[in-house]
Amino acid sequence: MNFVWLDPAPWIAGFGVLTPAGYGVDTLLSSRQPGRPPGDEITLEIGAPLGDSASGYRRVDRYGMLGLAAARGALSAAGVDPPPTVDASWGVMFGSSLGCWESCARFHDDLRHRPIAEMSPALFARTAASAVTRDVSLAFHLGGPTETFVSGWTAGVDAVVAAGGTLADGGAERMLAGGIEAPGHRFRRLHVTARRRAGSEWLPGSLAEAAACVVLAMNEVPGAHRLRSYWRGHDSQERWSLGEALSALQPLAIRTIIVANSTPPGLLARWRDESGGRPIIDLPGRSGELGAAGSITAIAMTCSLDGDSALVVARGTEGDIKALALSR
Amino acid sequence: MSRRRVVVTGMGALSAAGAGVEAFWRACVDARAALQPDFHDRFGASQQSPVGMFTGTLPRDQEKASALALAASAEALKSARLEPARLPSLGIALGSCLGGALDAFAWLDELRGDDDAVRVPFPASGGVASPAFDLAAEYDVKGPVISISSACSSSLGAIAQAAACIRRGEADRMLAGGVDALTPFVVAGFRAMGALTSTRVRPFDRRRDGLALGEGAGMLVLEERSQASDRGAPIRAELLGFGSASDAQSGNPPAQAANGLVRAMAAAFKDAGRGPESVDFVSAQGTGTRHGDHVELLAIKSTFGNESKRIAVNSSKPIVGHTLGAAAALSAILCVKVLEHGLIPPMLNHEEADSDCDLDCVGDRARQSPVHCALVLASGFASHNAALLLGRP
Repeated sequence: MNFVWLDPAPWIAGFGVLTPAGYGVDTLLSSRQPGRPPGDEITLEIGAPLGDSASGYRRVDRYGMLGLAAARGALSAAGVDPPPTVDASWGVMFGSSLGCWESCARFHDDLRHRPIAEMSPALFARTAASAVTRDVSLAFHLGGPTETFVSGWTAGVDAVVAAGGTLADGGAERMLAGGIEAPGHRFRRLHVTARRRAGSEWLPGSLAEAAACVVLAMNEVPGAHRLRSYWRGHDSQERWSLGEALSALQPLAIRTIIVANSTPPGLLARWRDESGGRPIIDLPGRSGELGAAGSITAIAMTCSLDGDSALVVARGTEGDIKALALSR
Repeated sequence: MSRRRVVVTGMGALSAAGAGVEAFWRACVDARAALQPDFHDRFGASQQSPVGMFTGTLPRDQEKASALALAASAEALKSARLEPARLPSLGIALGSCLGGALDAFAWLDELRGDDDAVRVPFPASGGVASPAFDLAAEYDVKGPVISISSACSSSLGAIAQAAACIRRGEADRMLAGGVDALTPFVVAGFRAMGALTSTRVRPFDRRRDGLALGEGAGMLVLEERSQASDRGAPIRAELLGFGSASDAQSGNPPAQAANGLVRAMAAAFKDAGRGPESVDFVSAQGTGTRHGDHVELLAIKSTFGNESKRIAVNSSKPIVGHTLGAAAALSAILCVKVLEHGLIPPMLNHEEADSDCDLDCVGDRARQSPVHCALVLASGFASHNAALLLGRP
């Protein structure tokens, strides 16, 4: 299995995570019981514990607000101030499976019910999936490399991989990399209803609201984990082998595996057999499905664990599978 | 260790000019607009604005964006002399603004406010990534599948991510590009923004008054150079460097708004290890909007200085319209053809240069001129700027 090794490997300087369980990953690690997802909405007052919304910037929908909150949390945890003026050495990349679904749905509804002269150009601008990346770059003056990924539930992995690769190649000194899902109440209700009616026996939980972000840096952060290696591929026949992955990552002595997205029970059982006795944390079982935010949340969880190293496995649409390896 | 080099070995294009790269290239060289005012009412935006629809035949059972991407990909693979059945290490990187969102909107429409009507689950990935996954299924892809949506620079980002996969050894061969299909959603949005022309698309012209929307797909086969050589592949161009940058500021005067694109170009030159003096041709975003063209003009002049008068500039937007997620990939394809033929297409409708536009906007007819290095520019309204450098192989 051909893992790509980042050299030099970026440090994970800090992270911010918002899930329906609360702020941070401790809530997911300690207060939630497996099999009991905490619901699918973030009930935190987003502005309160994490600071006010970005000054001077308006018209941010929930998609943008969640992204800003996660980014602000990551910067705060990293103990770094965002640049005071536009800085090309800072970049930002986000991933989302659904993008700004709520704004898209609102604009689509307007299209059916309003004349074009009454439709909002500001709302249309919010329908771009990249709106959150823009929000964060504007709020924190991040003028460097930028990209927005929408590769389903693994889009967060793509954001981290691209950000890490950019750093390793010397394209920036610090990058924010995040994943976000803001599906909206109506969508979640209808989606789950539809899945049940379609006869799905496997319902790990509806897609939850979630936002997670990490600060990746090239300057040494003592004691911090580093993004070492990754693998991305398509596996429509579900033959991807955790055992082969662990062999390829032998130099890192992986201690823990975190499954970031919903995985069929049979496949999960096989991975347990291949894990060599290492603990496997099934993140969706604790949190509900976090979509593109799942892999970033799993990275944050890795940084919170006592163990030195972990493998994050994200499984997405139609056989899409991606993995990230981290160690101190 | 030297960096793995990335080359273009195949290309495919569908646009209002028709099916195939040659149809697109000939329309550009002949300065033949493929925009059609007659189709305008289809999108419910009653104004005199042309659109660039692809009117060729596509499979009826596929969502249109996927069908466009699949057709362009088939052409690209064929021109790269690759058998679709023998592509074990292929990866996909596809950019799009809305992707297969028509399916998602159809799902919404089906509800009509009645939750009990919901029978079918929401389309995977919200529909945006569905063309990428349809490509993966079509070619039984085992490599990475990456979907990008960064407004109008989406496909340049996809090409860059695909190149990064090859450089780092993640894949030896990637199918990369972009796609977008015209929808009432998009036409209404640009209409609401007041961005559509009521006349013609006139990039960098004094009388420009807006853009025309189009649809299409542009796909490129990217390969690691030595492996492409070993299999005797047609090496069409080399991907030299890429850069992206956020504006990171809003509501600025044009001079400041240009800084994001300037930074993207600087990053591309740094990545390529060469400077602006190496560029002979720029395929500009050139949508024909008053603000957008002005900002791009300032960015080009800031980057190239006095050299900007020497460099030939073109935009294909007057020919096929602004194809959004496909636009930059089509520009990249245009650049490869320019590098191959040493022939620079004219800028249709550029008749009277704006007062501060002293760029060499090639007028009237195509110009024969050797081109060694070409630059593609793209900027999205979500503050994404991107630049790609292509060179002769």
